[in-house]
Amino acid sequence: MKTHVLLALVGLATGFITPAFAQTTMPKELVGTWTMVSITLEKDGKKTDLFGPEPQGRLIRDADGHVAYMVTRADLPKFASNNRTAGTPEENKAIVQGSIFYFGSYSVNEADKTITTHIEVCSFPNWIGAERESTYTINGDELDTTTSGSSVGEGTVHVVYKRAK
Amino acid sequence: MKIRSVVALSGLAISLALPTFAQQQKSLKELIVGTWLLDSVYDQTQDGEKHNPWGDGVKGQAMFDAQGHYSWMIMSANRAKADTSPRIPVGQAIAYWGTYTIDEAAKTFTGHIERSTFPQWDGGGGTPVSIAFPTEDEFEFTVTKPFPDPTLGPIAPHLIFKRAPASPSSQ
Repeated sequence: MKTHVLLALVGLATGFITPAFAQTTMPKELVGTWTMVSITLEKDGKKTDLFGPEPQGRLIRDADGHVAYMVTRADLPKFASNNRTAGTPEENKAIVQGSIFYFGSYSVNEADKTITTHIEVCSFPNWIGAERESTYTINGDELDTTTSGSSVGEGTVHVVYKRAK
Repeated sequence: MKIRSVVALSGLAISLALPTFAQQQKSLKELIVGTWLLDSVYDQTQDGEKHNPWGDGVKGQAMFDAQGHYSWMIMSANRAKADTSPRIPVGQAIAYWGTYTIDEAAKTFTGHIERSTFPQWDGGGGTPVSIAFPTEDEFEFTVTKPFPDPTLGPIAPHLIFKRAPASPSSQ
C-alpha cells in the first residue's frame, strides 16, 4: 500500500513539475517589456541613426518565447485625411520607411549570449519567415543587442533598450 | 496505514481540485496577461452584416504584460515584397504600444497609446472597449459604442484572439 501511495505521489509530482518547467526556460533577465533608447547602423566604420534621432521603440519578450518588436522614427507625419487607409504617397512612404515592426518567437543560448528570432509576420515583407541572430549583453536595466544585416542592407545594427517602467 | 493513505489521497484530491476552482476565479487582468494571436476580425454594421476590412489571411498579435504594458499589431496577408528599396509602402499594417487598465466590474479594457504607426493615434486611446473571455484561451474585443464609417454607416469592430501556444523553443 505504501508503495502504491508513493508511486501515486511521484506520478503527480512529475505531472505537475513538467508544465511548470516548460514555461520557465527563458532567461528572466531577457523577459519583459523594453523601451528603445537608440538604434544605430554601423557600416564601413561609420555609424548612423537607423530611424533618425530619438527613435521610438518597444520590445516585449514573454517567458514562453514570444516576441513583439516595433520601432518608429520620432518625426512620422500625421495623415492630412485623418484616415489610415487614405494617406498620400508621401505620407505612406514616410510611415513605411520610418517604421518597422514584427512578431514571432525567439530562443536563447545563454552560454553564447545569443538570441535567435524567428519572424512570423513583419511590416517589411522581406523579413517574413526570416531568422535573425543577435548577441546580447545585459547590465542592470539596460539591454544591448548586436545583429548582422539590417532592413536597409548590409551593416551591423546596435540597439540599446531600457527596461520599461 | 490504510487510513493514513486514504487521508493522504484525499488531501491530494483537494489540492488537485483547488487549482481548477481558482481558475474560475481569475480576474480579467489575470486572464489577459500573455501573448495572443488574432483569430478573426470584422466590422459589424447595424443591420448585422460583417465586413473584414483586412481581407483574408489577416494576421495579428497582441501582448499584455502584468505591469500594464501592451503592444498590438495587425497586418494584411500576401503583401508584396519590396524589390530593391526596402520598406516601400506594401499594404495594410498597423502597430502601436502603450499602457492599459482593466475595469473588472464593467468588463472593459482601456488602452493608452504611446506610439502608433498611424501617428494620429499617438497619445490617444482612453475609450473603454468591452472584453470577454469565452474560455481562458480566447478573448474578444468589441467597442462599446459603434462609430461612423464613411461608407458602411455605424460600425462595431470585433476582434477575436486565441492565446498563443508556447513557442517550441521555450520547451
